[in-house]
Amino acid sequence: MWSYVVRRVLYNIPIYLVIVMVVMAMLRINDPVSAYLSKNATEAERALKEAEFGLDQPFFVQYFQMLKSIVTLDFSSKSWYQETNTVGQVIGPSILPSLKITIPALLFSTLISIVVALIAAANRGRVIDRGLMFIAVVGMSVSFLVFIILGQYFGAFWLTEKTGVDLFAVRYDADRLSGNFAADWVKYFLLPVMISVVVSMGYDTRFYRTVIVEQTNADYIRTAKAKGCSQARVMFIHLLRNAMIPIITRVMITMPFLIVGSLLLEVYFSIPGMGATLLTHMQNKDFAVTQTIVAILAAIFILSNILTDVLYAIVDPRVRLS
Amino acid sequence: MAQQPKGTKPAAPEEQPTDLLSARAGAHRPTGFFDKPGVRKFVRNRTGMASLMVISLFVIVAVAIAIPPHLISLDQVQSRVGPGTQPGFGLASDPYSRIEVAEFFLGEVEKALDSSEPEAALAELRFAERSVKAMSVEDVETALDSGYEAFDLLDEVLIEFEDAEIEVEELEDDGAEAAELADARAAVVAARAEFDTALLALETEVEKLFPRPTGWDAFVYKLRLVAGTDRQGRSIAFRAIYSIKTATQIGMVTALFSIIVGAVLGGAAGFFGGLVDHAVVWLYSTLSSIPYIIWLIVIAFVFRESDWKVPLLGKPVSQTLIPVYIAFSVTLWVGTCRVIRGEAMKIKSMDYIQSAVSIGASPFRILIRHVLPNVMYLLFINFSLAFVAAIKGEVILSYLGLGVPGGQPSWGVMIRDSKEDVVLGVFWELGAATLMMFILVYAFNILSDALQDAFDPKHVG
Repeated sequence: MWSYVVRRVLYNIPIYLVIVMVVMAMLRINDPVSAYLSKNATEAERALKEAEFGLDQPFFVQYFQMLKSIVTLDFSSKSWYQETNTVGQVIGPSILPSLKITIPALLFSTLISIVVALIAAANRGRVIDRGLMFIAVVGMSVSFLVFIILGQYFGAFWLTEKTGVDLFAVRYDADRLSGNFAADWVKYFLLPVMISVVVSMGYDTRFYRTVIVEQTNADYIRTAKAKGCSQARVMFIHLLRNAMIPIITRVMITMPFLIVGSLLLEVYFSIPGMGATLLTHMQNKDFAVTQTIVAILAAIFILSNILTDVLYAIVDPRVRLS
Repeated sequence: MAQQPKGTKPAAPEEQPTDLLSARAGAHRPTGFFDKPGVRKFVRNRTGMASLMVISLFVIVAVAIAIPPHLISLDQVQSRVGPGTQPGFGLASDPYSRIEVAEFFLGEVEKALDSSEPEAALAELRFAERSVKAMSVEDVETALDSGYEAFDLLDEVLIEFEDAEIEVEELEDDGAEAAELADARAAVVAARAEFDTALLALETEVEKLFPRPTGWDAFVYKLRLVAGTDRQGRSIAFRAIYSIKTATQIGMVTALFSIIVGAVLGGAAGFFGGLVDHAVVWLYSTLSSIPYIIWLIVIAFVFRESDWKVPLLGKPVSQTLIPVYIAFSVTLWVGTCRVIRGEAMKIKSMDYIQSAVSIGASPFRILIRHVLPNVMYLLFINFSLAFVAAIKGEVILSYLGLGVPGGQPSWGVMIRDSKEDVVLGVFWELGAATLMMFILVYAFNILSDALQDAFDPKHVG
């Protein structure tokens, strides 16, 4: 088992090294300093800015400095946009808000989708199944942004105006937090999470239903039934465990969409998460923060890939050997 | 040897059971494109065929817009057709909205007359199919004056009508006698009739200045207003239709690129294995380790200030769709590549491939003759998936200000522009863009399902 984990980690290290290199090279195609400084900046000012960030050094020196700061988690260079803060001080506080959206969204959408898929698969071919799958395709065909706009309108605006239930806030407001973690989460984060769940449910239910239907036809299910297992035992012990491999794959495939989704939700509900921070600093030509956030996001992503591989190996012992 | 080329020409589509019977009896078996079991099954799938037709229609419209003579030109889409934020569909005949339209036309003529060169300004005054009737400046002035007279009259009548309505409400609240109430109601009806005549009179005055288009133009003009106007008074319906071109452009370029690259690299990796396989898997793991949105943000960061002009187009790269193409292309081919690689590995061990190898077929021939036909349906499915992903991605990018550059309408730009209007209860722009996009994306989703039903033997419905 451990040799497998080590192999996966070793396999992913060169991938990460190349990603960081590609990102750093791309960000330098168009001189970041002249984009940041105004057109009539003097040569001396440019040179000063370059020296401050080490941009005057050879590319590989910069590359290894970047790698060093990632490995030691030392992000002490200055942000270009918020000049009083270091890059670490800009990025640090933005991690928690992002996690408050992505983790519940991933959990809820997976759980709810599996339940709905089980219902549909158990009623395969009947009206319930067809109705659910029709709704899923319709949901898949509408843009994420439309879900957000309508979700915010009906959840935060219409609900408060028409029924007087002030459940969700229209947008995040750091000054009006009550201090109670759960209450704040419901007020500011539950609506974005719900929107995210609704959007991903269309894809997920269809996928899980196919997986479950495929598994229901498998021989081992017939055997389990033949030896007298209860329906629930067949469904949850035999079937679900075997369906875990595609389900884990699915969760892994959902990860990039989750990052995209949380970026969009953060911008729309002005939640100060990583995606929103990246976008703000990118628009203000903050080269230092842009480069670091992209590198961190890629690292998170690769770590989640490794985690998925390990989960595979736990669920399916055959994977370890290949 | 089953896969030896037969050299027969594609037969006409035949669906008679007699044909099947003769085939079973071991008689001549037609081998044309429409005789393949998967194709037959697909052609018989009604929803699948309907969605294919819808997609073809969209593509035809896109081509008609893109090539001269343009069905709709960019200028037409950007010109004003009336006052801003007009409702569409049946609601345009609402009296208040009609008053607003009349007021808008009179105001525009007044503005033109006040300018330094009234004659030229009047000649330029044009709202799609409606323009100022050719007459002297003095005539326009008198027509405008009588228009404003009609407008003042309407104002008075409107106040009377509203007063009468308030009267009825008050009487109802006080529980007045039936006779009194009936009188008041009759007054409302009378006031309403008077108001309608006054409104009609005002519109007649406006039509003297701006004659209504006739014939074909009238139809086009109605079509322009069918979904209302946006904030700048531009036609929502035409913007939504023009966006078909933008969407098809982005979808076609990125989907074609991703299936071609995905098929070539995936096929090579799966078929040859070894070093090639390692290289391809490593490449796609690297590229897909960054979500496309991050790629796009990085690419936008790079090209934002770039002065580099794209050859042939003569525009700076930030004003073209190239950053969008790159961002989607970099990530979308990975899905196709994974699927094709897996399928090619499976096919490689099939008997018919072994047979082909044993009779000395070249690897290239095996790939083209034996592997490609068997993964063709996967390419179609992945094409529609990539197309849908590109269209939906475009909306997200346009919202973030990284997508379709200024001026060119797209569903994403429309949805972005409409988000402030939604709070005011104005859903026209959002609705029109969402509906158009929904039809296309839904058709693609149905199509890929139908393809899977028809060609994938393992698929469970």
